[in-house]
Amino acid sequence: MKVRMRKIKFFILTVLVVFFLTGCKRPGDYQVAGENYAFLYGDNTIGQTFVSKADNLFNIKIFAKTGFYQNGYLPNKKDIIFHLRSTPTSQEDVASLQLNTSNVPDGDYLSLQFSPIKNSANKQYYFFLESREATAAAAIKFVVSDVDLYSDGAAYIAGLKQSRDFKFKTFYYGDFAQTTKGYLSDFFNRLIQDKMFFIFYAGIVTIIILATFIIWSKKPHET
Amino acid sequence: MFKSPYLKWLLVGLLIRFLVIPFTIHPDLRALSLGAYLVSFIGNFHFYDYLPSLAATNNIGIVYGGGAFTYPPAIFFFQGAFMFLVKPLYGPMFGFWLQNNFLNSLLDPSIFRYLFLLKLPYLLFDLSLAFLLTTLFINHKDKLLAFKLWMLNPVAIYASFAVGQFDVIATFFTVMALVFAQRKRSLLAALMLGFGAAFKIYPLFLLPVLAVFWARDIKKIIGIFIAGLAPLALSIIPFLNSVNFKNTVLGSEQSQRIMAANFNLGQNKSLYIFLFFLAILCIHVHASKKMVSEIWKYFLATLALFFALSFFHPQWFVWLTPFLIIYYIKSRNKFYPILIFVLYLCLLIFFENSLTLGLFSPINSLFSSIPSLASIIHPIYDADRLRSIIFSFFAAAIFYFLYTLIFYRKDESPHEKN
Repeated sequence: MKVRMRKIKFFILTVLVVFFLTGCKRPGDYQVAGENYAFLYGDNTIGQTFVSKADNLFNIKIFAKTGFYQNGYLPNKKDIIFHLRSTPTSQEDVASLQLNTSNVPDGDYLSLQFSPIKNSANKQYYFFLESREATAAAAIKFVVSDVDLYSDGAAYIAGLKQSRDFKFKTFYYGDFAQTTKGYLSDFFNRLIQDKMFFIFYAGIVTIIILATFIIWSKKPHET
Repeated sequence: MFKSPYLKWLLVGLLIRFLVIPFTIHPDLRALSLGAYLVSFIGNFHFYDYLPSLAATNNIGIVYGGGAFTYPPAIFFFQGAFMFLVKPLYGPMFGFWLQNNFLNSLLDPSIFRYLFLLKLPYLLFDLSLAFLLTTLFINHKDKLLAFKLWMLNPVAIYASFAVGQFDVIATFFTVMALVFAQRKRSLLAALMLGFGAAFKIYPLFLLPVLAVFWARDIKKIIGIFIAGLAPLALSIIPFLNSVNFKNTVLGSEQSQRIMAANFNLGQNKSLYIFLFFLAILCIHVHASKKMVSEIWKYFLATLALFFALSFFHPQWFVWLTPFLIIYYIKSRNKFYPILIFVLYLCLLIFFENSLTLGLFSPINSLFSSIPSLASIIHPIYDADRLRSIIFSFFAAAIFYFLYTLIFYRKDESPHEKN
């Protein structure tokens, strides 16, 4: 019995250690609506500006369609370059990646992972993809919305700003403790963004808690 | 004021509700709110035709689909009226929030404010119901217990303030009907059922039960049916020429649920099991000359039968809870309410994620991507079959409970308090 208990304790400890040491990813801003497509070829780059709400931005996902499942083949096998920059006018990459069209999923998010950016919180970024050798007739496509659905950024097609947005997600890196803390701070930051409501809500909840505490702490003969 | 023991429980209940209201969402609340928004912000009273009239590429049409307004008109006008009253509090971006798709809408900084305002009207009925329940008892202890049980009722909190469904409005009217019925005000009771049915159709199931208590007076029966059907009929008349209203409300899948459990008799004829048992119940009331003071048992039995014989949405269970509370207080028998509640919880955890952990997605969108228990179990064992097995136990528990509730003689009943 004791041996079994020891084994269970060891198992729990191992799970906890793995949890605390393993890097976790925490979702950041995203925009997940869209019915239209933008094509990636030649000078027709596709990009999106967004605001990173936390430090350690390390992963961006953008929804792609290659037509592989429908056609049984990829439209091209050209290289794609991913650039992450601070603004659309900047020439300096904060992060970049090179991949091939064969790495792009069909009808799913293309994951673009780079080294975590330490001080990324509350900074605007611009990411874009280019595939210079691809042609318009053999281009892969990315899902973009009809209208502007993401207020902190905009889509860019061929370097031109659009009043709509790509279907994309962002993620932050952290260990278990950082991620848990991050979730809490994300929640709190969102809660206090609407200051008027937060003051009203916090006030009313505080009043109820205080009143409950006062009434419950009174002894029966006092009440 | 501080002397009242009700205040303690009112505060505790309010605190729980306020902690839930802004941080939980179900996608259906947005569809309901869109209808109310069209009434109050846009002044579009033909909202049933709005979504189907949108172009296929229209963003709102894509987000909600053509048949999102499946409820009778009363709730859209009620929510719309409240929305109109507090219009400035919603701010200018509320329409944009409704247009955005569900996952995008979770990131809106005003989401907590919107959820708070959208669910606030339910509080009026929820709290009134707590006080209304107390009027059904004479003893002070019983009154307080009823109040306490409602304020801590997890199903009521879940249905109204987590899921954001308006079932509590119809529930309030059914209890109101019970109060009037016990005071022998049959027409007023029927009218209350009618008001409830204008929001959700189910109080109409109770109309034949109410009528049969006054079965010797044919004029009264006619009056009961007229009073019970009038509010719903009057509220839907302006929409009857809308094809979309007929398709999405009158022909909705939910409104056909009572017919789903049936025996095929051949030649395209069926025996509807719920209606069959409802008829037996009514005949029993008539044959055994039941007193009006026992009507609560038959309201409870009718609704319990519905839950035992239909695949129900978890928030609907709130319909039954006031009657289970009455049963518990009158009998002091904890066993059946607890058994039914535990089996209900087992069924609840098998529902889709949006009705369980996904409700907390305003706190973090991660909650919306957690797979449901059914989808985790499904590769190992057919989750629908497992749910059906649990449902069978749930139905069996209800049937045995109903048997003991209705057919035991008073002197041998385990339900009557000493």
